[in-house]
Amino acid sequence: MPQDATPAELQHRLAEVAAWTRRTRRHWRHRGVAYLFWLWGAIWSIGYGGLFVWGEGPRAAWLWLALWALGGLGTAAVYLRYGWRVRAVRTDRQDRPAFWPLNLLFMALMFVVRPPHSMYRDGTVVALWILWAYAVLGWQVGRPFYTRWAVVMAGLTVAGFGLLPQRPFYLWMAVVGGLTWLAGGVYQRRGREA
Amino acid sequence: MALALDPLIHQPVRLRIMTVLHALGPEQEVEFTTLRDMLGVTDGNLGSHLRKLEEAGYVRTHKTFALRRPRTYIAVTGPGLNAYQTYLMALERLLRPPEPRPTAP
Repeated sequence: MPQDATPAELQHRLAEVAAWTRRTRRHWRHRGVAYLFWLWGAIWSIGYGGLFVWGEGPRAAWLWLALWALGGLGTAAVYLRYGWRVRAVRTDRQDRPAFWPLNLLFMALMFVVRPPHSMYRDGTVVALWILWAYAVLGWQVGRPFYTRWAVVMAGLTVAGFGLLPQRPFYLWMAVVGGLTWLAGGVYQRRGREA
Repeated sequence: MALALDPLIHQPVRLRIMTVLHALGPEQEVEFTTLRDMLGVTDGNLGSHLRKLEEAGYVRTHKTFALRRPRTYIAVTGPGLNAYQTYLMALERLLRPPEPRPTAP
Protein backbone atom coordinates (compact mmCIF):
# COMPACT_ATOMS: atom_id res chain seq x y z
CA MET A 1 0.00 0.00 0.00
CA PRO A 2 1.35 3.48 -0.81
CA GLN A 3 0.62 4.68 2.73
CA ASP A 4 3.17 2.17 4.06
CA ALA A 5 5.96 3.47 1.80
CA THR A 6 9.12 4.58 3.56
CA PRO A 7 10.35 8.20 3.31
CA ALA A 8 13.24 6.96 1.14
CA GLU A 9 10.76 5.39 -1.31
CA LEU A 10 8.68 8.55 -1.40
CA GLN A 11 11.80 10.66 -1.93
CA HIS A 12 12.74 8.36 -4.81
CA ARG A 13 9.29 8.80 -6.39
CA LEU A 14 9.58 12.58 -6.12
CA ALA A 15 13.06 12.54 -7.69
CA GLU A 16 11.71 10.35 -10.52
CA VAL A 17 8.88 12.78 -11.14
CA ALA A 18 11.36 15.68 -11.41
CA ALA A 19 13.68 13.71 -13.73
CA TRP A 20 10.90 12.51 -16.05
CA THR A 21 9.32 15.94 -16.20
CA ARG A 22 12.66 17.50 -17.18
CA ARG A 23 13.39 14.80 -19.76
CA THR A 24 9.96 15.01 -21.37
CA ARG A 25 10.03 18.80 -21.59
CA ARG A 26 13.52 18.88 -23.03
CA HIS A 27 13.13 16.13 -25.62
CA TRP A 28 9.47 15.85 -26.50
CA ARG A 29 7.26 18.72 -25.41
CA HIS A 30 8.48 21.03 -28.18
CA ARG A 31 7.77 18.28 -30.77
CA GLY A 32 10.91 19.19 -32.72
CA VAL A 33 9.71 22.76 -33.30
CA ALA A 34 12.75 24.05 -31.37
CA TYR A 35 15.00 22.42 -33.99
CA LEU A 36 12.98 24.00 -36.79
CA PHE A 37 13.46 27.41 -35.18
CA TRP A 38 17.22 26.83 -35.02
CA LEU A 39 17.34 25.56 -38.60
CA TRP A 40 15.37 28.49 -40.00
CA GLY A 41 17.22 30.94 -37.74
CA ALA A 42 20.50 29.77 -39.27
CA ILE A 43 18.99 30.00 -42.78
CA TRP A 44 17.68 33.50 -42.04
CA SER A 45 21.09 34.66 -40.77
CA ILE A 46 23.10 33.10 -43.60
CA GLY A 47 20.67 34.29 -46.30
CA TYR A 48 20.51 37.88 -45.11
CA GLY A 49 24.22 37.74 -44.31
CA GLY A 50 24.81 36.84 -47.98
CA LEU A 51 22.71 39.81 -49.07
CA PHE A 52 24.67 42.11 -46.76
CA VAL A 53 28.04 40.88 -48.00
CA TRP A 54 27.31 40.46 -51.74
CA GLY A 55 24.36 42.79 -52.24
CA GLU A 56 21.47 41.87 -54.51
CA GLY A 57 22.36 39.73 -57.48
CA PRO A 58 22.56 36.17 -58.77
CA ARG A 59 24.96 35.02 -56.05
CA ALA A 60 22.63 35.99 -53.22
CA ALA A 61 19.62 34.63 -55.12
CA TRP A 62 21.31 31.23 -55.59
CA LEU A 63 22.30 31.21 -51.95
CA TRP A 64 18.67 31.75 -50.95
CA LEU A 65 17.46 29.01 -53.29
CA ALA A 66 19.99 26.56 -51.85
CA LEU A 67 19.01 27.55 -48.31
CA TRP A 68 15.31 27.09 -49.05
CA ALA A 69 15.98 23.62 -50.44
CA LEU A 70 18.06 22.77 -47.37
CA GLY A 71 15.34 24.16 -45.11
CA GLY A 72 12.69 22.05 -46.87
CA LEU A 73 14.73 18.88 -46.44
CA GLY A 74 15.55 19.71 -42.82
CA THR A 75 11.91 20.45 -42.03
CA ALA A 76 10.84 17.12 -43.54
CA ALA A 77 13.54 15.30 -41.54
CA VAL A 78 12.42 16.92 -38.28
CA TYR A 79 8.79 16.02 -39.02
CA LEU A 80 9.71 12.38 -39.73
CA ARG A 81 11.71 12.23 -36.49
CA TYR A 82 9.33 14.11 -34.18
CA GLY A 83 6.16 15.32 -35.87
CA TRP A 84 4.08 12.18 -35.58
CA ARG A 85 5.39 11.02 -32.19
CA VAL A 86 4.06 13.83 -30.06
CA ARG A 87 1.49 16.16 -31.50
CA ALA A 88 -1.14 18.69 -30.64
CA VAL A 89 -4.47 17.03 -29.84
CA ARG A 90 -6.21 19.28 -32.31
CA THR A 91 -3.92 18.34 -35.26
CA ASP A 92 -6.05 15.32 -36.06
CA ARG A 93 -7.97 17.42 -38.54
CA GLN A 94 -7.38 16.51 -42.15
CA ASP A 95 -6.82 20.10 -43.27
CA ARG A 96 -3.85 20.75 -40.95
CA PRO A 97 -1.02 19.28 -43.07
CA ALA A 98 -2.18 21.44 -45.98
CA PHE A 99 -1.43 24.69 -44.12
CA TRP A 100 2.17 25.32 -45.22
CA PRO A 101 1.85 23.98 -48.81
CA LEU A 102 -1.22 26.17 -49.31
CA ASN A 103 0.55 29.15 -47.83
CA LEU A 104 3.51 28.66 -50.18
CA LEU A 105 1.17 28.13 -53.14
CA PHE A 106 -0.54 31.46 -52.48
CA MET A 107 2.84 33.15 -52.15
CA ALA A 108 3.92 31.66 -55.49
CA LEU A 109 0.63 32.77 -57.12
CA MET A 110 1.23 36.28 -55.84
CA PHE A 111 4.60 36.32 -57.59
CA VAL A 112 3.05 34.98 -60.82
CA VAL A 113 0.68 37.95 -60.84
CA ARG A 114 3.37 40.39 -59.83
CA PRO A 115 6.90 39.09 -60.49
CA PRO A 116 9.52 40.16 -57.94
CA HIS A 117 11.36 43.38 -58.85
CA SER A 118 13.41 44.15 -55.80
CA MET A 119 14.85 41.59 -53.45
CA TYR A 120 14.83 44.27 -50.79
CA ARG A 121 11.12 45.07 -50.96
CA ASP A 122 9.71 41.73 -52.13
CA GLY A 123 12.00 39.78 -49.78
CA THR A 124 10.60 41.76 -46.87
CA VAL A 125 7.06 41.00 -48.06
CA VAL A 126 7.92 37.27 -48.09
CA ALA A 127 9.41 37.49 -44.59
CA LEU A 128 6.27 39.23 -43.30
CA TRP A 129 4.11 36.64 -45.11
CA ILE A 130 5.91 33.80 -43.33
CA LEU A 131 5.58 35.58 -39.97
CA TRP A 132 1.88 36.14 -40.63
CA ALA A 133 1.56 32.39 -41.28
CA TYR A 134 3.23 31.65 -37.93
CA ALA A 135 0.92 34.09 -36.16
CA VAL A 136 -2.16 32.44 -37.68
CA LEU A 137 -0.83 28.97 -37.01
CA GLY A 138 -0.22 29.82 -33.34
CA TRP A 139 -3.80 30.95 -33.03
CA GLN A 140 -5.13 27.93 -34.89
CA VAL A 141 -3.30 25.22 -32.95
CA GLY A 142 -3.55 26.92 -29.56
CA ARG A 143 0.16 27.83 -29.31
CA PRO A 144 0.23 31.48 -28.25
CA PHE A 145 4.04 31.46 -28.31
CA TYR A 146 4.07 31.26 -32.14
CA THR A 147 1.75 34.24 -32.38
CA ARG A 148 3.69 36.34 -29.87
CA TRP A 149 7.02 35.41 -31.44
CA ALA A 150 5.75 36.22 -34.96
CA VAL A 151 4.45 39.61 -33.81
CA VAL A 152 7.85 40.46 -32.26
CA MET A 153 9.68 39.32 -35.40
CA ALA A 154 7.32 41.28 -37.65
CA GLY A 155 7.82 44.38 -35.48
CA LEU A 156 11.63 44.04 -35.72
CA THR A 157 11.41 43.47 -39.49
CA VAL A 158 9.22 46.52 -40.09
CA ALA A 159 11.35 48.65 -37.74
CA GLY A 160 14.54 47.69 -39.60
CA PHE A 161 12.87 48.24 -42.97
CA GLY A 162 11.60 51.67 -41.98
CA LEU A 163 14.64 52.97 -40.15
CA LEU A 164 17.67 51.52 -41.93
CA PRO A 165 19.11 51.84 -45.44
CA GLN A 166 19.11 48.72 -47.62
CA ARG A 167 22.48 47.09 -46.78
CA PRO A 168 22.38 47.72 -43.00
CA PHE A 169 18.81 46.37 -43.08
CA TYR A 170 20.16 43.03 -44.36
CA LEU A 171 22.67 42.98 -41.51
CA TRP A 172 19.84 43.78 -39.08
CA MET A 173 17.81 40.88 -40.44
CA ALA A 174 20.79 38.51 -40.33
CA VAL A 175 21.78 39.34 -36.75
CA VAL A 176 18.62 40.50 -34.94
CA GLY A 177 16.20 38.35 -36.95
CA GLY A 178 18.43 35.28 -36.82
CA LEU A 179 18.99 35.62 -33.09
CA THR A 180 15.25 35.99 -32.47
CA TRP A 181 14.69 32.67 -34.29
CA LEU A 182 17.43 30.99 -32.28
CA ALA A 183 16.12 32.43 -29.02
CA GLY A 184 12.65 31.10 -29.89
CA GLY A 185 14.15 27.62 -30.27
CA VAL A 186 16.02 27.85 -26.96
CA TYR A 187 12.85 29.01 -25.20
CA GLN A 188 10.96 25.97 -26.46
CA ARG A 189 13.80 23.54 -25.81
CA ARG A 190 13.73 24.59 -22.16
CA GLY A 191 10.17 23.39 -22.07
CA ARG A 192 8.62 26.77 -21.38
CA GLU A 193 6.20 26.36 -24.24
CA ALA A 194 6.08 24.55 -27.56
CA MET B 1 -6.53 17.59 5.93
CA ALA B 2 -4.60 14.37 5.31
CA LEU B 3 -4.04 13.61 1.64
CA ALA B 4 -3.80 9.94 0.68
CA LEU B 5 -1.51 8.67 -2.08
CA ASP B 6 -3.56 7.43 -5.01
CA PRO B 7 -2.51 3.75 -5.38
CA LEU B 8 -3.33 3.82 -9.08
CA ILE B 9 -0.75 6.56 -9.72
CA HIS B 10 1.75 5.40 -7.09
CA GLN B 11 2.75 2.30 -9.09
CA PRO B 12 6.19 3.18 -10.65
CA VAL B 13 5.35 2.67 -14.35
CA ARG B 14 1.99 4.42 -14.05
CA LEU B 15 3.65 7.30 -12.19
CA ARG B 16 6.09 7.67 -15.10
CA ILE B 17 3.26 7.53 -17.62
CA MET B 18 1.33 10.21 -15.75
CA THR B 19 4.46 12.35 -15.34
CA VAL B 20 5.24 12.22 -19.06
CA LEU B 21 1.63 13.02 -20.01
CA HIS B 22 1.48 15.81 -17.42
CA ALA B 23 4.74 17.30 -18.77
CA LEU B 24 3.31 17.22 -22.30
CA GLY B 25 0.10 18.84 -21.11
CA PRO B 26 -3.50 18.00 -21.95
CA GLU B 27 -3.21 19.73 -25.31
CA GLN B 28 -0.63 17.24 -26.57
CA GLU B 29 -0.78 13.51 -27.18
CA VAL B 30 2.00 10.96 -27.49
CA GLU B 31 2.13 7.97 -29.79
CA PHE B 32 2.04 4.53 -28.14
CA THR B 33 5.39 3.15 -29.38
CA THR B 34 7.13 6.45 -28.57
CA LEU B 35 5.84 6.29 -25.01
CA ARG B 36 6.86 2.63 -24.82
CA ASP B 37 10.42 3.45 -25.93
CA MET B 38 10.65 6.43 -23.59
CA LEU B 39 9.67 4.30 -20.61
CA GLY B 40 11.58 1.18 -21.68
CA VAL B 41 8.64 -1.19 -21.19
CA THR B 42 7.01 -3.83 -23.38
CA ASP B 43 3.86 -3.34 -25.46
CA GLY B 44 1.86 -5.60 -23.15
CA ASN B 45 3.11 -3.94 -20.00
CA LEU B 46 2.34 -0.45 -21.24
CA GLY B 47 -1.03 -1.58 -22.61
CA SER B 48 -2.13 -3.05 -19.28
CA HIS B 49 -1.10 0.06 -17.31
CA LEU B 50 -2.81 2.33 -19.81
CA ARG B 51 -5.98 0.25 -19.56
CA LYS B 52 -6.08 0.79 -15.80
CA LEU B 53 -5.50 4.51 -16.15
CA GLU B 54 -8.11 4.74 -18.89
CA GLU B 55 -10.67 2.84 -16.79
CA ALA B 56 -10.11 5.39 -14.02
CA GLY B 57 -10.64 8.20 -16.55
CA TYR B 58 -7.09 9.53 -16.09
CA VAL B 59 -5.99 9.12 -19.70
CA ARG B 60 -7.71 8.77 -23.02
CA THR B 61 -6.48 6.95 -26.09
CA HIS B 62 -7.52 7.19 -29.66
CA LYS B 63 -6.55 5.37 -32.82
CA THR B 64 -5.78 7.22 -36.00
CA PHE B 65 -3.40 7.21 -38.97
CA ALA B 66 -0.05 9.02 -39.17
CA LEU B 67 2.41 8.60 -42.03
CA ARG B 68 -0.10 6.09 -43.47
CA ARG B 69 0.17 3.74 -40.52
CA PRO B 70 -2.37 3.06 -37.78
CA ARG B 71 -1.23 4.70 -34.56
CA THR B 72 -2.58 4.97 -31.06
CA TYR B 73 -2.25 8.31 -29.30
CA ILE B 74 -2.51 8.87 -25.56
CA ALA B 75 -3.26 12.08 -23.68
CA VAL B 76 -4.00 12.96 -20.08
CA THR B 77 -7.57 14.01 -19.20
CA GLY B 78 -8.73 16.81 -16.88
CA PRO B 79 -9.56 14.37 -14.03
CA GLY B 80 -6.19 12.70 -14.66
CA LEU B 81 -4.38 16.02 -14.25
CA ASN B 82 -6.26 16.73 -11.02
CA ALA B 83 -5.50 13.27 -9.65
CA TYR B 84 -1.81 13.60 -10.54
CA GLN B 85 -1.52 17.02 -8.91
CA THR B 86 -3.29 15.74 -5.81
CA TYR B 87 -0.88 12.80 -5.72
CA LEU B 88 2.13 15.14 -5.89
CA MET B 89 0.72 17.33 -3.14
CA ALA B 90 0.21 14.26 -0.96
CA LEU B 91 3.75 13.09 -1.70
CA GLU B 92 5.24 16.44 -0.73
CA ARG B 93 3.05 16.63 2.37
CA LEU B 94 4.24 13.20 3.52
CA LEU B 95 7.87 14.16 3.03
CA ARG B 96 7.58 17.46 4.88
CA PRO B 97 9.04 17.25 8.40
CA PRO B 98 6.29 17.32 11.03
CA GLU B 99 5.64 20.75 12.49
CA PRO B 100 6.53 21.03 16.18
CA ARG B 101 3.48 20.91 18.40
CA PRO B 102 2.93 24.01 20.49
CA THR B 103 3.70 23.26 24.11
CA ALA B 104 1.28 24.24 26.81
CA PRO B 105 2.46 27.20 28.93
